[in-house]
Amino acid sequence: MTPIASSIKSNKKEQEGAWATYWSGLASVCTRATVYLEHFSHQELWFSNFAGLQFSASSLAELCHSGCRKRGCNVLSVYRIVEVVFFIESIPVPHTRSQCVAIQPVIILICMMLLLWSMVSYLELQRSMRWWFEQRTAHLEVQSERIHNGVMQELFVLRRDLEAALEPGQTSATDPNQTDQAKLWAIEKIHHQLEQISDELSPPYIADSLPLAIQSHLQNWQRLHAADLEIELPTTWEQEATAQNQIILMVLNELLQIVMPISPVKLPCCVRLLAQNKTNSVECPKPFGELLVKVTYPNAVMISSILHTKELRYLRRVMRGLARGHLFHRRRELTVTWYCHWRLRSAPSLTVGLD
Amino acid sequence: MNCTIVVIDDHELVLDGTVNLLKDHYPNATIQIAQTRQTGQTLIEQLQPDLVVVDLSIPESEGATARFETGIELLKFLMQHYPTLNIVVQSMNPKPLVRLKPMIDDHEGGFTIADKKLRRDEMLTKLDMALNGGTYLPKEMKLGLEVKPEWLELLRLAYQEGLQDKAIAKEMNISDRTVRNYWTKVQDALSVYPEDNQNLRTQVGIRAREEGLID
Repeated sequence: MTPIASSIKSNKKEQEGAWATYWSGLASVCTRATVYLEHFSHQELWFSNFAGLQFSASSLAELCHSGCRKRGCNVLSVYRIVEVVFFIESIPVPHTRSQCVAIQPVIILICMMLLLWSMVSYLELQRSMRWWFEQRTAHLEVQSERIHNGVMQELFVLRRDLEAALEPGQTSATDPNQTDQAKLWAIEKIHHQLEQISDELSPPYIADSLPLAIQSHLQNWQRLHAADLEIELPTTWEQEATAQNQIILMVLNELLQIVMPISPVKLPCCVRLLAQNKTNSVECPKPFGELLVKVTYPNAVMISSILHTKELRYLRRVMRGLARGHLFHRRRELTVTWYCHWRLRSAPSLTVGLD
Repeated sequence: MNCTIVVIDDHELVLDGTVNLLKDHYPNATIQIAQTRQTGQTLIEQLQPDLVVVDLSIPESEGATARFETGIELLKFLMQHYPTLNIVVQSMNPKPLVRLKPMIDDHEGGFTIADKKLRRDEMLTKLDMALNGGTYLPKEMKLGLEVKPEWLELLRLAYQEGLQDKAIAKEMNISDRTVRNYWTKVQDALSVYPEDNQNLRTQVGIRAREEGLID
């Protein structure tokens, strides 16, 4: 049993008031931190890294208010609470109201330090993950290009030679046409498979246009799953970094796997990509990308099982951590719409497609 | 057909294959080859060819690494300086060309993309199409039906007003050549390509009505 717990047990009544002050002090700090972070996020850092911390701070405040007895708190918040308690345990346990008041600045300082430390470590972790992902994306792109420029080029030469041999008037020593035709088919098959591998390494159009990359991916997906997909993509789109496009495409792929389970009935699904201009500030417009996946299910049981999958929870964190965005859903009767929001580099106006 | 063709590709064997194909198909053509952007550009400046067949992934100069960005830069240069040049991009991965879509739409010469996975006969079709000033972009490079306002005006004048090309040019205040160029762009947008025994303009009219571009 921890010193805090034993102390509470022995002097329960005496310490009740002290602990109430203790927790309310902590809650007050966390609430202030939440407001402070919220202020930041509204001012400049919309969709920024503060979102996670802000959420943690507000959860912590909430938990402190309820004396940490609330059920269903998320793991991150409990972890932060444990950190706070760990620090508090190194401080002498207050027995009176005056002692509590005296110790409050120390608690405030510790909490602020904790919040700052959490923020820095969260940012560091996020940066590292993004760097890692960018490196991997670039590496796979090079590998994909190597396939195109190496083995596929050689295959092309072989193919043209065979095609020339199959031209009317050309003769070969043994069983000319059938052998060459079979070789030609084999080459076509190898070419197709190499192209598929190359596309797996670096999806088509990923470096050039997110709408085209999504279109290509969805067409493949539709072919493989015989899905009832409605696709709405913009003809103009501001080009983003390849790694960012790759994350969005991967999130879409995983999301479709989760929200479109194998079902005896075809689930009508709509995928839409659009750029939104958030107009809460004229000086600083905040455009963001929105990828929407809307699925209509045959019953509520299916929806419930999908909404509680752990993969969906992981995907939300991936979206927040890697894409610096959000993944959330809205439900209306048997239709659920998933939204992926992420900050765009600039206003949507240029590039691929026609105006 | 008496014409001059420049082929730019860094792979020697690919060059041989392409040149043999061209010699078979155009026995009277003068064919010149280059393996880098620099030599290719010099050849084009000197010869002013009727057709350029270019790979996207080429090196800048001898000894340099082949990069598709180099091919993109060469195409940009060619379209800026030779707006009526007929170009065929023969590449194993033509997808990065999507970056040049606005320029291709404005290019007045022929422009076709021939993925190296195409069969010999399909490749020859793309060569003929470019040589005749046609445009072809793979469907996967388009996001639905992409039609410019001036192309819509051309369709309206041709099918609703019943005007001939000369009258359309006068009405739109553009040259006859630009009208012809608009036709090739509209054909590509509607995926109407030359086929035996088919009237292209009639096919365009049918497809445009199907797509709701004209009444």
